[in-house]
Amino acid sequence: MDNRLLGLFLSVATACFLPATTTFAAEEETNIVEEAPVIDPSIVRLGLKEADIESMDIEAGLYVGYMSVENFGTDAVYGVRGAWHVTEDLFIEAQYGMTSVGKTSYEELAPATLLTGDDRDLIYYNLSLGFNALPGEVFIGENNAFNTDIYFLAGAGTTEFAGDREFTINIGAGLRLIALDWIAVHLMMQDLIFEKPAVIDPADSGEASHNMQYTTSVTVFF
Amino acid sequence: MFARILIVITLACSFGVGTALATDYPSVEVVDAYLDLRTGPGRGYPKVQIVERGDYIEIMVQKTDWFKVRTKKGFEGWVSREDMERTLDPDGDQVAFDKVGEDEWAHRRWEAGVKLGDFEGNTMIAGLLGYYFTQNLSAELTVAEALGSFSDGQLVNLSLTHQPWPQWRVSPYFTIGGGAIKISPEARFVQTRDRTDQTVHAGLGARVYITRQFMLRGEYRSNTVLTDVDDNLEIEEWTIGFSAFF
Repeated sequence: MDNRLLGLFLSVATACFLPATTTFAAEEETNIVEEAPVIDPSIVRLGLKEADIESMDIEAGLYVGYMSVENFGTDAVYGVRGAWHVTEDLFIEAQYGMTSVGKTSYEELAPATLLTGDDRDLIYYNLSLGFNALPGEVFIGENNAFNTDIYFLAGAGTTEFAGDREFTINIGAGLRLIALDWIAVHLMMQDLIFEKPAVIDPADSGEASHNMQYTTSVTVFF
Repeated sequence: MFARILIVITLACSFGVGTALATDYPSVEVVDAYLDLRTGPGRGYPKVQIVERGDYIEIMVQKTDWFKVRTKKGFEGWVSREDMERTLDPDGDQVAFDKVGEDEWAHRRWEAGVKLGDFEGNTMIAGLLGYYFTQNLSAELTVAEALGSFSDGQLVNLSLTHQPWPQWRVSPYFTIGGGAIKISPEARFVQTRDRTDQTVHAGLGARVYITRQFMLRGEYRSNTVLTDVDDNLEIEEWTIGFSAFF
């Protein structure tokens, strides 16, 4: 009898407790699962693709400076430039610039006008291949270091000047200072070489004119 | 791109904006004995710091084959693509970036490039954009300038190009198409006027795969300018070019 009562009591007690214990065990199990695993839990992204990383291989900006057009004096030049950095060494650059030339010394001395109106505007575009040759650093003050690159570039394009369009070769060198990861300041000198316009070379001897351009530019990487 | 322009404007107005724009960067785990950090995105810049095995680094930006990373301690430096591919991504897999190479060469979709050459004795400079409908068939838009002693020409034309063997490293092609040419006489010949005529052309050439996503190309075209006068103008065009595919 006692045994039966005890048995009943035990079975009731087990019936009451067992679900509780299992629940408890389950909770504990969930806790183990939810608890931080060995890997840093702050990482929620899965996998890594290059597209997840912002790339900054395109550079675009404006430039201003002086251009010395052979026989026509030196005047302000301004333009836009864009570059695609293909590798750490190579980039492809496009430029579109313009200046308005002054008078030749002949026009200064004699009461003559060789060019009128729009013909005094020189507009050029070119496409060049650039080479980052000398990487370096500049230090400004005690706490600032900026990465720099001395680069060389050469290319071809067209110049519209004095009523003609001339095939133009350019060679140049520049210094790029990376002010922030996405902003750069350039100092550049470039020689734009094209045939002398008809007003200067009426005999069409094909002589080349060298037109030096000294510019400063601010560019943005994106 | 627009975000960046916006940043320029905002930054010009106020200076405290930078921190608000801080985002979650993807991070990777260093599994080599150590990882070199350089001061700039190039092999010429000095190594200034190392990250030890087991440490996590955040990848901030990429410039060509270099990645700017930030360590747990907040140190920033540049890691090469080669080194970056010896780290583990959040799944614990080795990082592997896609490389554009010879495998994609046969499956190119877009092509953009420049050409330089001779246009019946005149210097020619051209830009081109191509779209591949299939591996074998593509359309190409060319904008060109031919600069000579007597006259200058500006050309726009559209071609249909067929390449029988797109997967070959040296892949020949045939091209036919048409467009327009504007011829402007040089300034010294003031008596003549600019004129615009239609053109048709046929030609053949070859694309040569160089490396990554770049190719060289050489082309011969025979252009016919359909003039108002009795005789059409025949113009031979030889060009060499350089282009990238995407």
